[in-house]
Amino acid sequence: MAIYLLADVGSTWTKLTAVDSKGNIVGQASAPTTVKTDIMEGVDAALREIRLQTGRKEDSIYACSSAAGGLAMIACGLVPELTGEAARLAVLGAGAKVLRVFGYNLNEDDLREIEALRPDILLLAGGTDGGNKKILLENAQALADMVSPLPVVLAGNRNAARQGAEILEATGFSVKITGNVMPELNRLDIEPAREAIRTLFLSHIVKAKGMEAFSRHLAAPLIPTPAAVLAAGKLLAAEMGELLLVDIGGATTDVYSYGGIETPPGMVRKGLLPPWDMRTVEADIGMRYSLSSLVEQAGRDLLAGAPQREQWQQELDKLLACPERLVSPGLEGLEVTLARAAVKIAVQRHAGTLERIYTPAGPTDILSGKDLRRMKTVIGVGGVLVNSPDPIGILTMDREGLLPENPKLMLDSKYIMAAAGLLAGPEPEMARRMLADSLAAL
Amino acid sequence: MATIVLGVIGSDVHAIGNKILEYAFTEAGFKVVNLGVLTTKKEFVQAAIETDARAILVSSLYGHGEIDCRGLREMCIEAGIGDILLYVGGNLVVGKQEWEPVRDKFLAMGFDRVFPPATMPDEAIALLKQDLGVS
Repeated sequence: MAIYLLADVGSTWTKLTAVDSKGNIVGQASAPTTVKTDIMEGVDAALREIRLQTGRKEDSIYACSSAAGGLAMIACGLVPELTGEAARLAVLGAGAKVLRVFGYNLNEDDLREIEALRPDILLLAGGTDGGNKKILLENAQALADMVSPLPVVLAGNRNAARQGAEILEATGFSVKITGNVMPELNRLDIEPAREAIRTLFLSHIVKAKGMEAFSRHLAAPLIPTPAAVLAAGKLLAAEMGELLLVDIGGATTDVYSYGGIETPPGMVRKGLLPPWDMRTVEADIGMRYSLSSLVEQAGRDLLAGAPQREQWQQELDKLLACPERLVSPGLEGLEVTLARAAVKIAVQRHAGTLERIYTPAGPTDILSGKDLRRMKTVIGVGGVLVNSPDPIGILTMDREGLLPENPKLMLDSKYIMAAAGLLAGPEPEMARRMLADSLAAL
Repeated sequence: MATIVLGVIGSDVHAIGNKILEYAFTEAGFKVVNLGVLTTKKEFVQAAIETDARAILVSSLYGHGEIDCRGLREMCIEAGIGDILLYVGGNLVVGKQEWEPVRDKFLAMGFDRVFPPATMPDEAIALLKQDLGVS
């Protein structure tokens, strides 16, 4: 039986999962990512280990990566709440990290910042189809004049796209024109831009030494890890209905939702209709590297009522001082409290808002963004959940606002969400089998 | 085809006239960006910027039009679209007031055309075509 190897080259760990052609997991191995020397060293170390488990060489390899900071992008739109937001959602949906979002005309400081940040790809949007052309052309000109050439995905007003691309190409930018992220007011169409970003990912992300050599061994193009997770969730949602997936990491907390875009009767929807499959990333909410901002966001009541408050506070101070540290035995409750706060903040930011206003005709509810109340399932992903004595405590959210009201809680117990996502396109049956194997009801 | 932004301003939920206007202006050949009911000034301005609209058509049916519409022209100027045509119509004030002072008040606010209650869409369409120089 054929062996498929699924590799996730993370920023700290390279994780390999081996599955047979039925989708049964037949091996898992990991090794530290060797981004400083050559990523192949870490890959080879994990390969040696997994081949011992499977007893043979694999038949094909699929891989995703978030090493060397992952795919870092800048998005530019016109009105921040409209094409600016559409561009941001497209970048996130492609699995990239958003360094900055700019609105209106780029000024000299913005351009200097872009030059200094050197994103892997810049997404240039602005104007609905047939709408504002000026912003796209002026921003293209400003970039061409002031910024050294970058890969650009141009996803703005189709009536200005070609001209904008020519302006950029004249100074050496490589430009991929794709569908407008907001072809009509408040209507998103981010899939073409996402696809263009994913395609560019491989050809431009060779920052990590050895990545290019590794990619030659792959059965399909290397994709950003969050894009793999998004694909796995999509496959699950097709079977299980509307769901929410929360991936708690050391540096960020990612939230993926599938559904939640319907407007309940009697409500008025305002603003952009969010994408059915939506990803957001909270860069200031994480269990280690972003712990200080998580604690700050959670507020001073975070440890209120904790049974061992003093001990917890001391332990928290140690974690803040040393992100590599593991929580001391007996104090796992602190980790649960922190992770629970991370989930709550990240999901609240992912969710839309519901506002009751009083009109002369009576109260009216205005809905904007994602309505997560009827999400059937919440799936937790990440080491902190897998290793926790109380994953239910972490994933349980208070019923408030647009948060899920009565979801079934599940855990990606084998931590294979990204690996399964790699097979979601080429081998969906195998991916389903892997997910069924790993998902555990809580 | 000229793009126009249409909507009912403020805490006003009168949806039917809005749908009729959307239909009538679309039939007349305009590209209508309809923001619907409960639309804020900011939404009108942002939509006009993004779609490069040539006119904003504001409806107000519930009597609070004066307070809702105040400052719309200034917001357009601030946002760089100060030259855009602004139309307003509906039951703009509470009760039965004399029309001319009401009209003058809205003209002074920076609206280019002010329409009294029971104006038929055709009348506004003809004037808009005239103001935009389109046929």
